[in-house]
Amino acid sequence: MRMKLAAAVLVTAIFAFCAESDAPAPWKDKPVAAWTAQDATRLLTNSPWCRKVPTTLLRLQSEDERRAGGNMGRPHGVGYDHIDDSPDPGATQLFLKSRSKDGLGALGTVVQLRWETALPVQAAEMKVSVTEPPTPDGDFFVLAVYGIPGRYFNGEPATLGEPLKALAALKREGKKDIRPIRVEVFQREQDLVIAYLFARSEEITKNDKYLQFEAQIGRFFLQEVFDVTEMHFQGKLEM
Amino acid sequence: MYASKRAGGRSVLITGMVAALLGLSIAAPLRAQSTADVQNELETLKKRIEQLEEQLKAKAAADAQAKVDAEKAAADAKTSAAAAAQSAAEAKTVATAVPPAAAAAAPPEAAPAVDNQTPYAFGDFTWMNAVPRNHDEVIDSKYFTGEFRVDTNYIYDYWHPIDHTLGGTTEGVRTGEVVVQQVNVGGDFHAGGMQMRFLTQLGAVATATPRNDDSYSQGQWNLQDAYRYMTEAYAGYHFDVAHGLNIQSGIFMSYIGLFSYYSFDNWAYQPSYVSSNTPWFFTGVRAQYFPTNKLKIEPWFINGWQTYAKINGRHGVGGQILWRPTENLDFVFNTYTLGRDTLGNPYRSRYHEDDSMEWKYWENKDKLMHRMAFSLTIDFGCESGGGVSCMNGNANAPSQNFIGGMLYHRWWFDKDKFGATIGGGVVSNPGRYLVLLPPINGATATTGSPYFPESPGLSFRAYDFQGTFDWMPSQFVTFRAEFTQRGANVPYFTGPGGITPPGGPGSINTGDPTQIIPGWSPDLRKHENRWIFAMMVKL
Repeated sequence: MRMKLAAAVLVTAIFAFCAESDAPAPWKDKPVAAWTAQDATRLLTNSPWCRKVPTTLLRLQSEDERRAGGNMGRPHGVGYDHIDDSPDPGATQLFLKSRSKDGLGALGTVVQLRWETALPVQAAEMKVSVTEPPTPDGDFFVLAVYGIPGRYFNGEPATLGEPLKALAALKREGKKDIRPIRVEVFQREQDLVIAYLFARSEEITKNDKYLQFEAQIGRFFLQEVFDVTEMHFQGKLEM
Repeated sequence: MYASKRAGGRSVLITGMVAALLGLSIAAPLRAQSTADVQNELETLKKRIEQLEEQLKAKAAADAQAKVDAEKAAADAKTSAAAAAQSAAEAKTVATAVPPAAAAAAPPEAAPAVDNQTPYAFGDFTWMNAVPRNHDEVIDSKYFTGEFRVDTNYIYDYWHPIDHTLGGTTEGVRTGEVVVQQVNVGGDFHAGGMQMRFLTQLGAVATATPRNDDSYSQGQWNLQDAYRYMTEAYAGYHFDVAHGLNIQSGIFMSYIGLFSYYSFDNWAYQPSYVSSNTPWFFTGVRAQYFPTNKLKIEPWFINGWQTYAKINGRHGVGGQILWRPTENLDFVFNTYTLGRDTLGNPYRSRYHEDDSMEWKYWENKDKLMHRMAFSLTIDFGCESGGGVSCMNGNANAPSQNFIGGMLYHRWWFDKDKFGATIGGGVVSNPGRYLVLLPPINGATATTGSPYFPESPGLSFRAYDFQGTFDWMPSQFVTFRAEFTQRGANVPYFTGPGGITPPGGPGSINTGDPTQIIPGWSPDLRKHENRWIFAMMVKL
């Protein structure tokens, strides 16, 4: 039964991929008013502004390695706490080794990236009544990461995000990296939304061609390349 | 609104699959058709899928870069199917378009997925000499990470000394016996930025190591007694500056001489002279500054050269630079200066440089013999003032210096279950100021011995080599067999007659170790051959 189910899912995926390859991109061909819920969801899931990205789970250092690097004890915080990296959570635990009893599976985590401040994204979110995460006021580009496992992070979003600031960057060829000026972390029921705020004073143009987002969120490492030439909406670069 | 979008279970998966199908604009007409028609449509679609796959392959052949992107797009489509299942639970349909740019673009190369913030976290350095190979701890909690070590050995000495006494090393004290060499219990305490490390020093080393430190003989409050059962005892604070800054104070490990004080961490049991004769610990204050994730700068302000106390009027200062540019390469530079470490001579200063490199130059995890690496250490130093000179000495101020080196090579077999090491080193130390005094008649660094004087102008040159085989059935235990040969230009090693005067039914220290015992002399030889069998545990 499982085999059949897996085969069905695979066929569905290929089917959907092939079918949609032929479908026109609604953000190119349709006015916003004509967007359907499917169009909006498609934009929010897989479009020049929104991508699903697999993460790499970084190896946890041993205590000896940590001490050699000037640290003691396991790191804590977003991307470290309440995750379980065991491929088999039921495996015999080492004697007295603490393991988060309510650890969320971390292997194979796929996150959703979304340029929240891009006009088409906001329009699509309105279309499907998505209001997360809160978009802060100010002159920012906001790139949000949805789906990092985490629980009980109920502190101030900016405080929770502070350690992540130095660990993310937008990279462009031949230009200096753009670092976020603020990072905010929002707790959802089972996972986290992490919003990276980049100053709009950092000019990004079509000439940049590619924009590579790279971030380490605790033990999760992710990177994705955005094609700047495709991130235009109604003739204007939208981020 | 922050409700989870996750939905698990088989039913959800089926629902998602169906919802994805329904969500596709081209699938909409299927709803109204008969089963046969649906079958026909599916057949058509399958053919279409095959055609598209063929197109993808053709495209890949035409453009290698496009192939990379096409594979990525396929992966995206696959993950989007899972997203479809999720969204179905929320009655939303997820489309799975591949952005046109993804197939045509030539994006920059992906960076390696590593932690580039935490010092030395970009690689696995457990292959290194003097670094424990463990990847797990048995006790690890928010505030405490435990550490337990047991090191036992049996040393077979071809001279069979009558008093079972081994000299000239701290990695072994007696021969022909099972010896509990070292037991360490403790660990790391951590809370907020506070750091504390405490590890006991039980077993033979509680005697063998402190006896090489004569600093307690200066003044009162016998620090040798007070500290002898602590290998490491320090505390400090971690600041989030650059990649980390620590200020720590107490007794901490010395890095001079490459090898770890704990044999479990080392590629060989008997380190060569540049390690065995240089400090295992320091007492003082240190800062550890990590300007990058690959570099540590660590200045020391210490009481002296492996001392609990300060012998004369001046502290020792020094430091370490540790640079690991890649996962396969390690450079460490240790410097010690200014300390006046000669008991009874307040004007003699010591200088020492100890530099090492380790290189893992080959690795193939699929092979039986899957890794090769070597370590190279060079030491040089001298003393000046107080009747000696660094170089070009004369009768009034003989040269008193130290130069030596050691080279070790290691192989790993069968997924780290076995290891083999060969290596050794040489040393020249005129003035013998770093030569470990043989415990003749109970002599210590404080007493000295008339049978092995350590005076300016006296020469000491030595060599050694080791061949080591390790069985490592788990990451927590090593069974080791090692052959070692050591030689010197002067009688130094314990011979069959031993280095303990006869007395009573056996042999026992007699009188003052600073005095000659009429009619007796220690049996010192110019070389020794030993087998070392050890079991070492680190939890």
